[in-house]
Amino acid sequence: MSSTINLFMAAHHKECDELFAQAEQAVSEGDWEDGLFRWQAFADELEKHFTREEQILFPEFEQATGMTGGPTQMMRMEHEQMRSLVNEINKVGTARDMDQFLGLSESLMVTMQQHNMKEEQILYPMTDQSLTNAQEIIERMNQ
Amino acid sequence: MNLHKLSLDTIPPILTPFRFFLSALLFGVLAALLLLYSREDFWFTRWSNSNLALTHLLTIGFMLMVMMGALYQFIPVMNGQLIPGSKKLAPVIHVLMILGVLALVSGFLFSNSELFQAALAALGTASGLFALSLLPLLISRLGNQLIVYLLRVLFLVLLITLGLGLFLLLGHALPELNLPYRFYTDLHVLWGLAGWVVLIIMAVSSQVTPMFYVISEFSPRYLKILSLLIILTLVVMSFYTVFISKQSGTDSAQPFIYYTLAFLLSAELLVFVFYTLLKIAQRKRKIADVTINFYRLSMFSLLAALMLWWVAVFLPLAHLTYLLAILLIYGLAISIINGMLHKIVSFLIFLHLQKLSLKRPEAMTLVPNMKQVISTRNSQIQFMLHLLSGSLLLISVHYPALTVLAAVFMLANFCWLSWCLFQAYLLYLESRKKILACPEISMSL
Repeated sequence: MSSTINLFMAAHHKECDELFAQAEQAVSEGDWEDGLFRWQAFADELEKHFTREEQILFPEFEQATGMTGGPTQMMRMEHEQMRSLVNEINKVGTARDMDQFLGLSESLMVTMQQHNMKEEQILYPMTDQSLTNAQEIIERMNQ
Repeated sequence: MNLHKLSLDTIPPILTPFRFFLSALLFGVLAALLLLYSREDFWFTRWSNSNLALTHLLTIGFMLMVMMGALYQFIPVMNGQLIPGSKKLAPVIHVLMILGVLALVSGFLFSNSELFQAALAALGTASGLFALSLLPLLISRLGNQLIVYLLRVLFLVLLITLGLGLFLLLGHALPELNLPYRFYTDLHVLWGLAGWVVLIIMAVSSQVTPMFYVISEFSPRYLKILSLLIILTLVVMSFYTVFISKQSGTDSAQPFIYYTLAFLLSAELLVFVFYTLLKIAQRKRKIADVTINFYRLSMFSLLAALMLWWVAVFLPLAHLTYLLAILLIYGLAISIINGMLHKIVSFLIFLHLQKLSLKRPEAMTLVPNMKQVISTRNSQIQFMLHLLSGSLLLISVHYPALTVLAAVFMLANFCWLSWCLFQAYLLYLESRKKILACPEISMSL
């Protein structure tokens, strides 16, 4: 089990990145069946990550710091941005439109990375600093 | 850590980085036009007016300008705070940079000390203001210490390079001072190319490539030790040049020591090349991507420069300085900037438009994706033009008759980049107008 929230969540970011790269690679080679299967695996894992944050980590952080309208709200808004991109990619995936798929997946990739960077550089270190029950939170998120 | 000062919503206005990028391109185009105008005469001596003018159009006009714009964009993502003055001071720094570069280049072309004085004032003020804007970040203990460390190192190296540059400029601006400015030129070049260019690529690669290409994190120990070693070697080389070889009156008084230091520096740079190439090879995102080609071209250019330099230690090579300059400026630095601009600009436009459409659900479909902002085909054409122009530049050093052709392709390279970025910006303005026309919903965020 990771020792800090930052390590635990950053490792999950990496896991999502790898699933994403596999899906994108398969689609770019025209292997839609494998690509869409892997895409679904990625989308599920991404949603799991968002849910962990929105339902467990962010409320804990907001309660501990009293900051309800700041960084966590911004991160929630970016989750919505990414969810809408994932939805669009699902649609063009069903239509098997490779150009649109790869254009949108590139956009999602960079949006996701910028979001991850803000979390890993700023938000997670802040949560590690302000939460005393980090281990318990990690265990709850891992269930 | 002051939590309340942080905001994760900090992106500067799109014009802040864009104004630097677009004017950088203008200087790239001017550099190509100058080569086209100078033709074969360009390779006559490295001290010629057109040589010095073209070098600075590329290094300050293009490279430094892009770096400034990129830092305004990148720092807030890393640190949660805008660079102070991002909205009001950045346009002033930008205008001073443009005036300074134009005055410097005209000063070289017309050998006019008044123009050099104007350049000294404008570039000195611009770099001073930019350095002051970065200071709060450099002394802060915010966020990721590795990035702050890398920025401190970069800041130091850039300060020395610009400091030496401004000192040399003083020699041009006030000829009566009789400053031995030629003597310090080699140091200025050494710090600029082996210091600033290499370290900024090292810093950017370590932060950006893991994001874009899904590469495992760069080892912080590698980054810290190698950057420190490079700086130490440069410091010792500078002391040796200034205090020992200058006193003995000749550069070749103790060639062994000098060569040992230079060999050490080249070994450090070789480690940098192989580590970066290894990281690129290990990327998990294997999908075809033109920017990877730019990255590799950049690293192979540095490798070729190091090989040439080693050969030249044993065998006299004609035009070595020109070949090294082309490989390091056009090959190492501009390749990577060219590729990164394609990626960063498409992302910036996408990011700003997507943010705008969040409150307007009907507008979601109006946001172009990154590959619609700059198409893969356009990026591929860019790579071919860059590769071709760079190769022709190298060949024309030995076959000056080809200089015109090299200049034409170099012009095409910068014009194509300008076109890609300009049409991307037009698409931004057009899409923005359409998005803003959609009804807004109220959000309780």
